[in-house]
Amino acid sequence: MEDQKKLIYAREAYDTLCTCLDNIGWHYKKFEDELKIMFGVGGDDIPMNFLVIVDADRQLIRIISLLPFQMNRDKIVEGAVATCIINYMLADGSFDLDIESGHIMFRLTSSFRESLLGEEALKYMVSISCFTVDKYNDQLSELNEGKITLAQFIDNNN
Amino acid sequence: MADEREMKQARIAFASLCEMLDSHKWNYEKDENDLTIYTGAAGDDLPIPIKVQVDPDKQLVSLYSQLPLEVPEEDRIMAAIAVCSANYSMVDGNFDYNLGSGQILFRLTSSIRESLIGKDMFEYMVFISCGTIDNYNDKFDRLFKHEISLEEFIAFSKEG
Repeated sequence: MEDQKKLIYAREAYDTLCTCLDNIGWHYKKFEDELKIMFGVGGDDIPMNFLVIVDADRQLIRIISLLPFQMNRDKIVEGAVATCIINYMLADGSFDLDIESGHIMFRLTSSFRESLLGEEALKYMVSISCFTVDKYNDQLSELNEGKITLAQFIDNNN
Repeated sequence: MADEREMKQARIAFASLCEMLDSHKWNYEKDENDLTIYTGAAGDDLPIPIKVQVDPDKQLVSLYSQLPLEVPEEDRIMAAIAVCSANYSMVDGNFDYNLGSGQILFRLTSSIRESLIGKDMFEYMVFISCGTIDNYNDKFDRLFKHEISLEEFIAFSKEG
């Protein structure tokens, strides 16, 4: 697909994303030149920050949320097991653990290649991301801090 | 339970998926009741079985490919590190790992909710999945046969 056409689809997706968030009364920061937006959500336990990127080159909408803590070095293996357990239960999105830094990032992606994503699709993507991160961020944090064991984490998610 | 509109959207998406595969003369089996297609690709090293399912309730199209290997019990924890390493390098899709069974499944999903979905999107889903799986399946296989080390696997996944 030629670059010009890719950009047209990307701008369409970006405009729909902004309209969707405006319609649900969501506050966010726009970076129009980069086709990105950022927003924060309170969450039940831990605040959540999200970055939504409309990737014109790949024709993808990418939602990313970096959890606000790093798994300690001695918790990396448990973190790896825990993220695998979570991911196996998810229908959409995944938690990605950087085994070197201990950072955990939630990632959810959808293609819009030669497609027009509706507001409902984008609303779904944003809401499911918020829900999923909110559901698991505190558990991963508690695991990292030793407040729960890996066995307890597994039990909680069985 | 999907309403009539969601069911219609799902059927349109399923038809578009089949049309895309037909246009590439790709052989596949389809289950129209379940809105699922089963196909595969040869791959450089290992075969790549593919299942694409349109879920009318969730309004998702999901591609799954189970790797033709089982992680040996003694490597189950190490495999979690390898899977995380592979996933961290990805932009779309991820490997889901079941520590209990030792099975690894590639998953890639897109929303179809109230959207106009072009055939190119399905083409992208299938081809990017085949590329990613083909890139990693033999590495996972060699890792669990101890032909390469975890460090070598991690170095490979960092290359992207």
